[in-house]
Amino acid sequence: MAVQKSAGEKVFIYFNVIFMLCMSVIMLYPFINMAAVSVSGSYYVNAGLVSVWPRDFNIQAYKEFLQGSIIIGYWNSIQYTALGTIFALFINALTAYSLSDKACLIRKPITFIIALTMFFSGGLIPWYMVIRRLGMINTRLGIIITYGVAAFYIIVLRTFFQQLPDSLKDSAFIDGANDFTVFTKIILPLSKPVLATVSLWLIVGSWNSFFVPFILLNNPNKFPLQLIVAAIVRKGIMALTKEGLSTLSKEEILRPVAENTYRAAAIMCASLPIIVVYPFLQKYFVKGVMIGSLKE
Amino acid sequence: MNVKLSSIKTEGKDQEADLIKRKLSYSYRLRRSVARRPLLYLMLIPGMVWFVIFCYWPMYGIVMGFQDYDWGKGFFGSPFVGLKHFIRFFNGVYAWRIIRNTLVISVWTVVFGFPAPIILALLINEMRNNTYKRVVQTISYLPYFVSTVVVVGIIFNLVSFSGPINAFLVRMGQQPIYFMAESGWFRPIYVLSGIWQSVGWGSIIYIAAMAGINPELYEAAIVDGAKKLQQVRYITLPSIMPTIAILLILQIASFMSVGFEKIYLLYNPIILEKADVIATYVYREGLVSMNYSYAAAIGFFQSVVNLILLLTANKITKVFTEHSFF
Repeated sequence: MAVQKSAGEKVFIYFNVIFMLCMSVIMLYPFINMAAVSVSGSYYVNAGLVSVWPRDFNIQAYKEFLQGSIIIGYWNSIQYTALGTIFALFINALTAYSLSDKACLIRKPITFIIALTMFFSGGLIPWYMVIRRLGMINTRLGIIITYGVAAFYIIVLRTFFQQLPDSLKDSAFIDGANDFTVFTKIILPLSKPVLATVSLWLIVGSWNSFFVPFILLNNPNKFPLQLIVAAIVRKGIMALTKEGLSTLSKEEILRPVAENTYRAAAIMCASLPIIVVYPFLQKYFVKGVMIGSLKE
Repeated sequence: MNVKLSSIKTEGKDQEADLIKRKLSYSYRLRRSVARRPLLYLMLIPGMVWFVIFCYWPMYGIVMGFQDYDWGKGFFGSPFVGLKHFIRFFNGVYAWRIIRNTLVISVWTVVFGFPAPIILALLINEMRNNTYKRVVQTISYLPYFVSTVVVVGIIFNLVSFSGPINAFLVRMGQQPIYFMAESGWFRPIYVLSGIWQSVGWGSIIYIAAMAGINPELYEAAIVDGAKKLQQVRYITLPSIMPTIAILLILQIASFMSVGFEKIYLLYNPIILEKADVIATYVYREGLVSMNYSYAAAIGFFQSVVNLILLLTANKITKVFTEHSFF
């Protein structure tokens, strides 16, 4: 293409390159800063001298965490995420299978009943009362089974199942297979990409979830990681205010690990698993949003 | 006259018979279908049970907003009190404050947050170096995948008294600011951090829409001497309009529901005046003060307004852009 670029366009190209560089820095800087603060000495942190590199390197905050509740939080989060994801994926896929088949004559009213829940809900309090009536307050089961079954995932899965050729199913039926074997032996193996995407969303969503465990749990031994980190993050909230600063005792101000370092270390504990796997799995997330964006 | 009436009657009967026949045939077809492939229907049951228990039972539970809910009597037996809780809410001092805060935060989020991913997508779409483009995109999605707890922690550290922002202000010879103690800073912090978290992810869908535009349109425009801005104005934006319309409808539909998590984690008593929203108020009234019915009534009010907004926004965009969600 020999199209002459105007001066304005050239300026724009350079501007764009620099703009994207700035944006990337803004996206990454908070994480880098947290990482540096989490391993720096209190003098430098309290004086606001830590930016990108750690100063007076020490891992005191992590050491204290690893002896405490963070480990319980990790273990709980792993349980909730694994079981919740399996449960939700199974129910979502099962429902989507039936709704994807034209032979299911009630699929339209059922789809409507499911889709309606995207736009209207009973609200927090009636929902809480139902959970309480079921005796699931402060139980692990309550966290696991209330998570992840959702109209959106069902529609995404259904859309994918519908694209699979009918001939595969038909020949299996001729061989005497029933719907459940077709579902497990033919449809699920062919749907690995969409199952991977939905599982990833479910895993990240469960790992990051705060609201439901916060509402349902009151025993700290059952708290997932996010709740424990939230407690650490919010612990110093009053110290962020003028009134609060004067209420801090001298020992608290002078202790070896700064409040910000604790907070940063807690943030690193909560986000590290995601940041580590993110670059490798990023493309599956993106693929998924494309499937999800298809209109019915 | 008589003749006419009777003819209408028979016509009505005919229609009725027709309807019955059709219904019969539907129920007949359904029975045959269930008999042929029972598992296809059985496989719906777990999901349906889930939705009935966790979505439709609470929806029925909305009645508690019109009752004085009593745990022992449940949704079915508690005494009805009409609109008592709604009247109390709208006469109270908090109604106006939390509705105002919710709406202001939503409007700010739409005004500043909605165009941001569109602009980013337009700029990314103009990038020529594919490797650089991919790296930039990957980095821009990252914040979307960390939890609200982490985002709030990051905010606290960035704006804290010894955080980098205040360190910068001090270096510039300014007074440090107690960001979390000044209610005026709450909304900017909430909205900006929201953009930081979601702008990259939000841009994906627009970039995908732009990738689907026929390149011949641009070639023709270039031949006609259209400048870059004109191409964006007359080709790119109209082509992604359906996507914009649908996302805008969805965003407006949630105007009354600013999420609980981030507000709850960010706020403190000093800035409640500007930070308290419907979701946090419902939580405090319902689950902390245990005014169950009162809180359920407020939650119901919120859901209804959201539903009305959704339908209205859908209607309006349908009229103006011919694209709609339903």
